[in-house]
Amino acid sequence: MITAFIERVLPDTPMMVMIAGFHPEDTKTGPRPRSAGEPVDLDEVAPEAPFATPDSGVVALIARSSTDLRRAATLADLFPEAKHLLVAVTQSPPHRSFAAPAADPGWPPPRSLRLHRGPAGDWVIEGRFDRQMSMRDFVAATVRGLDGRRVAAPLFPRVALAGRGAAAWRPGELGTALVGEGGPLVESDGYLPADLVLRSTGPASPPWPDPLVPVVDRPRTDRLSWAGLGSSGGIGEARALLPALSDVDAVPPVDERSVNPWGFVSDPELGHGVLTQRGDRWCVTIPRDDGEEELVRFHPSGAVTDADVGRLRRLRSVGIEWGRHTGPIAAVRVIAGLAAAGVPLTAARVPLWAGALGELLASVITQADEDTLADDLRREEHSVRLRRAALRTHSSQARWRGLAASAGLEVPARPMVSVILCTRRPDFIGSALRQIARQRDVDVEVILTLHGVPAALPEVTTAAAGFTKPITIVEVPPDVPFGAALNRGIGRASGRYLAKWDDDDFYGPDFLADMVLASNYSGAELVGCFAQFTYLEQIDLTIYRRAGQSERMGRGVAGGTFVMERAFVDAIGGFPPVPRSVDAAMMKAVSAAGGRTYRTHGLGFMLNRRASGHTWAMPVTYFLRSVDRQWRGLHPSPLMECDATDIGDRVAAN
Amino acid sequence: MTGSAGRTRQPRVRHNDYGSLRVPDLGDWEPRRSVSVVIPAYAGQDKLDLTLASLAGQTYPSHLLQVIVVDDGSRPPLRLPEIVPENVSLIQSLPGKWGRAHACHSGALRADGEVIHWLDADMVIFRDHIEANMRWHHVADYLVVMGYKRFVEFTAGRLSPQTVFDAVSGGSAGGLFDIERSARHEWVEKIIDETDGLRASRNRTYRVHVGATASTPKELLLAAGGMDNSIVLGEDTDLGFRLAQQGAVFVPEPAARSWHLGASTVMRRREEVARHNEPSLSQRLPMRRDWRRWIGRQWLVPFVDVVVDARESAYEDVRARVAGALASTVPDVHVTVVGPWSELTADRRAPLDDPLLDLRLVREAFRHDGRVTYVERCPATSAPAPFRLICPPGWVPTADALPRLVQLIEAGGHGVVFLALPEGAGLVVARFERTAAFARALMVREEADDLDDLVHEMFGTHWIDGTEWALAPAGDPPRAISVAALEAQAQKWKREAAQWRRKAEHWEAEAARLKDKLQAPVGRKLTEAARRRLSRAR
Repeated sequence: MITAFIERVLPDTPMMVMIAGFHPEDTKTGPRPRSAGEPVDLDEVAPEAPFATPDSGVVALIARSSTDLRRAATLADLFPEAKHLLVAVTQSPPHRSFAAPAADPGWPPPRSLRLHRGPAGDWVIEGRFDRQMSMRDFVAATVRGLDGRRVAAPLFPRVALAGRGAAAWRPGELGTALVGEGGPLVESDGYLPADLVLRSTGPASPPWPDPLVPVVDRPRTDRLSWAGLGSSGGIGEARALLPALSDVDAVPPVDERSVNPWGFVSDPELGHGVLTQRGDRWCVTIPRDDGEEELVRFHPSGAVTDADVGRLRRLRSVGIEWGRHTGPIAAVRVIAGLAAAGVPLTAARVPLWAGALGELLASVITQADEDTLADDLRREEHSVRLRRAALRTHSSQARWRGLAASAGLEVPARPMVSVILCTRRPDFIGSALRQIARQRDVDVEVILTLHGVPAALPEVTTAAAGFTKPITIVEVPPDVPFGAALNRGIGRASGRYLAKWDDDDFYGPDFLADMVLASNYSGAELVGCFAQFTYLEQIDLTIYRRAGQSERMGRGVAGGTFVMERAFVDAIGGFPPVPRSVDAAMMKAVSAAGGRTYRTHGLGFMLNRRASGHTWAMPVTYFLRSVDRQWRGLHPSPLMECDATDIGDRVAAN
Repeated sequence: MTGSAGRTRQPRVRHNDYGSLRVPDLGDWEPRRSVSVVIPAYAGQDKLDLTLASLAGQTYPSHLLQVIVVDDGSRPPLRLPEIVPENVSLIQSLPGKWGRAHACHSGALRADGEVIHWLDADMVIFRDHIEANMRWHHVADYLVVMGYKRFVEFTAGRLSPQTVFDAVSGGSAGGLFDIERSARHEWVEKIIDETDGLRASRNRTYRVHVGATASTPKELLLAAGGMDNSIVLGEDTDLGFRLAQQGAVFVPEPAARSWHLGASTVMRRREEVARHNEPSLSQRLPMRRDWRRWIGRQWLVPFVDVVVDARESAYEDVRARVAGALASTVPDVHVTVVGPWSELTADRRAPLDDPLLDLRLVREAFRHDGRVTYVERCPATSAPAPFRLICPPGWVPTADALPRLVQLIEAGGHGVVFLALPEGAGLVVARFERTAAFARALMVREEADDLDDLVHEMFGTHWIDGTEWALAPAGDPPRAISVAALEAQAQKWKREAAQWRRKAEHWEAEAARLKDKLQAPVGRKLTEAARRRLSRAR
């Protein structure tokens, strides 16, 4: 269960060991740390009484992956204090660095803080303190390190967890309240730490006694395997549980901060894999000359980890073999996790018992086959559709909005995106506003920043009058530098996100929703995409430039695709107030402030390189130099859904 | 239905994929177009009798079927036997030459049909052979259709013309010989099988145009220049290549069955035939790169034609473009210079003040280069050259440009590669064209059609940055590549390598020093650290 490297780093003294994410057979048969007693499996404990501080003064948390570590961290309030603390992860995906704990100035002074990384991507963080140090804070700092220490809003609503395995419902949510299955929730001073209780229940769970807060009961995942359904509780219990199982809310959510499209490979070197079942476990195999090779074996609960996903990135597709299976929840959980990560799943059909996938995800899975996915672009399009469907249905955010709504809580509005459309060209406003108007799954306002264009112009008034979403018009004198004009627009924005919108480029209807998703799962301060698709008007040609991998941190993005949180933009003083090259200046400013840039997929955006009057005077030959594919005429990606738009009209006219 | 006046709308076939065309089932349609079957013959009266008997039993309407037997000087002369098709004539090859190509040429000159069907004089064709080919010629005017044949042993006198006629007209020609003891045309059918019946075939489809039985619209044949009677063997391959440069699509028709009486010469003496044909066909088939590996030779049909428009350009610019093209690493390049050459009269003029001075200089500069042709107007295509580069003013092809362009256009099967060239804020476009693509586009063009659109539809178009490797601004004459120059370059690199080696050794030593330092006893490290601290403190 632990690697030889971790074994070497762990101290040779007695210690308390907590584990998370390991397969039951691994914990029975695999090597154990020396000098450790029986490890505490955090997936198997009920979050009731905090653990006692070990006499040895040494405590270790060993997780199979950082996804498992995040889930374990949800239970951090149970963790003891110690002077020698260790956090280890045995598998990590190749593209991720490991976490450096964000040490807090309030900590007792450490004697040493050491980071170790092994050859297989396994790593250990070790802290030694003169005084007792809270393992809770140590793990919290490590998990924040995984995230790049971004200040992240807690999930809505405030939830208390009860019962064995409940942490799977709030992965990575430090500060989640923990409570016994029988309550009580309210603290001695009358403070109510949660607005909703989620209980992971067994057959003997008592009824929830506290009328102050609504409760959501979910059967423990081990009861939902066919074996579990057929045994102990018997047929009656199975009947009682089954109807609920086709509801998406029956499935523990995907931890999207950990299992997400990050690291997607758009030109995989391996072929088609199969998601199939071996014993009580789902696994992915690929055919080899001498039989087949097992690439990944998932946890029996169906929880997918970032390390699992990392191993599947090189596959062109994964076909689902429904066949016999371990239980509906585990199967749906595996599929939802892989889909959220953008692993190109295919299936000829979706059986009735997998209804908890949700209609959207179930229909996307069946919309591709091995033949269509042989093409890199078709494959990436399919992956994007899967991500959207899975992240919108099965992410922690989506799940809890759903659960809260069912419980009768008032769900806050989605965070709004303020689109900063700054233009000098009144002719373009109408088309730009139509593209903003068709943005889906996102709440939008427009700050139409007129840079030297009078608001009274008929082009402006007509376009604005036809726009059905909130719009604010800001007039900026023409001599104000472009960067400063943007800032004046931003000054009037009220959304949580800001999107810089170019007046003459082409945007797909999911552009903003995808950017908000990417902002959420990447944790980057600036998200955007590369202009992979570009229309060269001068020669009536659409080009596709792959330009390296998307879904990566630290790559440049096109200025017309910048999406940032308003708070961050304010923190760095807005756009540099320069007259030109604002985009390049902004990327530098973001980086200099310690912000990170994340490049998501580029299939929802098309740069329009006009024949004349372009602010960016690169010749057509510059674009032609690194072309991977080209099409005569206007050829937007299918994800742009241009049929009934101005662009579609132009395509049709061709 | 054809005729230049009332031509019907032509379907658009992509590459050689004739699968998009629909032909009627045999026996279930009404033929309208006439065909002339041209049979070149030398001796072999007994086989000819059987060929004619099988032609007499055809399903194709006799009023649309003309048969011309061309006697290529047989002694005794050939005669028409008893069983012949209705509209048959026996003629002699035109005087002065001999050979199959010449006989075909002589027959074609006398043919009245809209389609010419070459048929050898040792073939027994099944009754719907002509019909099977002809149905294709009713759907498009640029198809070349090839029948199938099985080679059988032939014993003179075993079959009478009457037996053959009865079997063919009765639909039992298949029983005339034992199919088990016959051989297929191995290498041809192998290519056909490997390319989904030629539908997936790309650039060298013309290879399968071998004689025995093949039909071509007469207009297409004339456009290609007809049968070349200056060669005596391999003429059908040469014709196939020239037809391909007219945009022809090659259709193998398995329903056009036949028995070939006896093995062909090529089958019996394959290597000798290849050796015999190499000198003449290597002149004519630029796609056979293996035949043109010789450096410094000149060839009849160029691989690439470079078109240089001399109008409104300074002499120096035209010189740079032409000379640049001639310096290509493709040895069989040709340059076509376009200009109003007929205006350059021999009348007395002021030599330095001549308004046509630059044109005169251009005309003079390459007058004696066999690879340069002066024309008044740029031809629609450069056929039979399979490719051409249209090189705009101010830009010169690099030495590698032509081979790389050929590689690019062939890899993608494109009809044209556009080379974008910046010029101020605007754009100039050079073009690298596939002759067959533009020839076919011209064939299918309706009035409103744009040629590039048609080429795009049937072959695809492709853009590249013309400045990346293909074209350079016109300037100095291209530098000669010589062994001496390359040696000098090698020497320069050798000197640089020595420098790098010295640097590498320096860094290796540095690494060793650091390793040493790392492994030094702790005491020494502490001493050194203390010294550093002291020096900082000062």
